[in-house]
Amino acid sequence: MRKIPIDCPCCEAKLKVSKLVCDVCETEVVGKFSLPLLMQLSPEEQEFVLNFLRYSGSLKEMANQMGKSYPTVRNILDDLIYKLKLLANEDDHM
Amino acid sequence: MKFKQVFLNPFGEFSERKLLFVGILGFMLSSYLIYQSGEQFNGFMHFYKPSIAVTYWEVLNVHGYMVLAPLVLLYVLGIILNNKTRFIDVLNVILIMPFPLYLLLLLSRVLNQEKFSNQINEALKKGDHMLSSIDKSQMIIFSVFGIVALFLLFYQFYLLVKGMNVAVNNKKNWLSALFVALYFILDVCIQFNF
Repeated sequence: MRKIPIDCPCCEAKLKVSKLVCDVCETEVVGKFSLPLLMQLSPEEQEFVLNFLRYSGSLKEMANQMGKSYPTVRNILDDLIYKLKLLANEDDHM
Repeated sequence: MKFKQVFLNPFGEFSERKLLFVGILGFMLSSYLIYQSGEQFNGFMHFYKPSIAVTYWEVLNVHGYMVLAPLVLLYVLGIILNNKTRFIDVLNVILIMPFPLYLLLLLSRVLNQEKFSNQINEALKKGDHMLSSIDKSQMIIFSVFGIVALFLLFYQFYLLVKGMNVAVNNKKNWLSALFVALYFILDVCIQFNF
């Protein structure tokens, strides 16, 4: 499956979803929808979130698997939390 | 793959246990090297030759203070900047960052820098300001040593900044400069006590 672009290739602004299609009956819903919060993260950040769930939130285990030190992984998580807060605020103001 | 990272940012790659083990090993060995040279610490980057011989325990004791003082200062600063800062991460920074200095110390002993310094002093006392009595090859070796020493001193502070940035998740340049400035100030202050 192709990756969904999240930024505009022309001006780099955040993209919105304008059309949803039912795979079975081909009903189309047209509108202007924001992408879910997690979808607005980069593929690397999404992978990090998935790994976080996969390892039951154990940063120590994640650090072992990623070959990074514990504070490095914790810093990535802290930066991600900060980014998610910013994205959530942006979405609230739209 | 990790070879480059060992030098560029060991704090981002290795577990705290590995860093602590290597740090303590370096602490013990460097203390032993100082003890063997009959010297004693009087600052983070300074040594002197006391009039009476010092024991290994005494060197370890003073070296311990040289680790404890910046550890307390940087850990308190770390907690103020980010309350998730861990003691072990700051301790590892303090233990690992002097490694270039330890290497410098070892090089100066291997090259017998003290003998060379004495030769220069003697030549200057005799009025040989062009140092023509000093062997040219020795002059070249110690010129290179001087450049390497400068690089290693710079690298020591690079490690301090890298380590503290990882420990407190810092991305601001002025805070990196503050870590170095505080380390310098504390080094100056501590010389009055040892």
